[in-house]
Amino acid sequence: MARVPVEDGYFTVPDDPAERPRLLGSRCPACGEHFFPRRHVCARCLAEGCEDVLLGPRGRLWTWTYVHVPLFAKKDARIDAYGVGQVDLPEGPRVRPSCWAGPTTSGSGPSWSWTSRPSAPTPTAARS
Amino acid sequence: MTLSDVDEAFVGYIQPGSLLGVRAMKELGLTGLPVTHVENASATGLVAFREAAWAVASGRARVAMAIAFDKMTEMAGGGGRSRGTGRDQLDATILPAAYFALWAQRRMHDRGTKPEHFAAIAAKNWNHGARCPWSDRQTDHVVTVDEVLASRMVSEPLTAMMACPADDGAACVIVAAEDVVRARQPGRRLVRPVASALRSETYSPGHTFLGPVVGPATMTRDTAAAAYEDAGIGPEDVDLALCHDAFANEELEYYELLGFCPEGDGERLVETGATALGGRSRSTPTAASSPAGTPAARPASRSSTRSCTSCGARRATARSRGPHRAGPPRGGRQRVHGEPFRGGGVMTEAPALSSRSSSSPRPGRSRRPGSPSAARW
Repeated sequence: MARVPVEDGYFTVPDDPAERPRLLGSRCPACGEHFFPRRHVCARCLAEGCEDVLLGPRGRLWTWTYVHVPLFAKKDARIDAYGVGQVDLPEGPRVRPSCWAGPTTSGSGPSWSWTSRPSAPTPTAARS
Repeated sequence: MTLSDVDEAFVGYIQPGSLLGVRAMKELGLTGLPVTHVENASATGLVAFREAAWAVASGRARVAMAIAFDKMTEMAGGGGRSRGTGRDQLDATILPAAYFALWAQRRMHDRGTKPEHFAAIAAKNWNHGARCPWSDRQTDHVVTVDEVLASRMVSEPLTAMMACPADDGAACVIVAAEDVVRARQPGRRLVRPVASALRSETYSPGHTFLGPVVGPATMTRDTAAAAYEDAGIGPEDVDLALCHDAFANEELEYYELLGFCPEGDGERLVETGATALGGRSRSTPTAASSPAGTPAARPASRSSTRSCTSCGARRATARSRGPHRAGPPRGGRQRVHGEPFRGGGVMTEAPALSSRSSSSPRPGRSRRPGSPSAARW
């Protein structure tokens, strides 16, 4: 079954299901700062013309929570509880994926990587 | 005073809607006054108030109205906020509580903060709220830390009793020139806005560009510093702070970010009860942080009402009118009304109950010339 991104331009969806998605970000040609999602103007030095780059796919968990109510917006509720993390990518950006790891996967620090999930409304992360 | 006395109105409501401010004001009457719709997330009501104060301070209005309202009950359940469109849908499925929980978890990791600290703050505010007839939630018993911890888990480590209610409400502040107030309310104590600061984020590594940004320390610190400097006061002068408290962990952060204690000392304030009513001491110059006597935490997204109420709107309308005043702050009780979550803050001054005549200018701090972010009243 073909995988379709919920929104174009934020992450890749490789044709090979075994291949992990990559986040699409930007790199400032002037100061080298990286960003997610892609942007034209560098938020740090205000230089224009940031270049597209692939980010990750691995990152370090900065903080996490486990939400004990259905995914926000009930008409989308296919999941009764879910995790949310903030993950620092090695290039610098901090991203905030929903994740489907259980509530016992606590603690910051372990390495996380990206995967996709059928019908998932957000890019998802899974502990690798 | 009636609507016909109002020269300009600022209407705060968090949901978008074309001409919503004008449509809301029409319900009060059609007088031709200029109306501006304000939406600035949790700082919506506070910004409406700031703009009303500016309108009077600038001289273009003699009487300005800041009015804000919420219909959180229509927003709850996601009927009006589904997945959004475009990039918004990438983050919009996450419960707002999660953003604050992420902040709380990181503090627990960094500082060893316990859920009991958050629960103690929530219990304090629940119990403060029980003393206020305007509180949305009233309890018939003393709320304990254990009760808060035992309530339903929403987003770890935040429980339901650490969270704000999703409710409806409205608030209005009339800001008028001092001579107008003196003529209409002779002998009444006045509340004067002495400074207002509003900032957006400055870039720092770790900034999240998708979805709400919760907890960048620099934004809150910088906003508070700007307001303190322009008011000519410091944290030690503050008697009462009303802060954004969608969730109890926010208040703990703001103890430090607003300068009421050194960084890392917030938990100590909780443990000693220094920030409860009556807990003020020489070393902890803050008092309660329960917005206008409302209980526990209230929603970040109910912005307008809570901003207005937390900036003392109900009390202001009931007890005083706040005219513009130039010059340094005078003797009296200093209050900070803050929405540090969105980088907004207003400081007001009310005459001390026992020293209505002690209004000599305070010596000391000079005001910054030409501050770009803070209103100098």
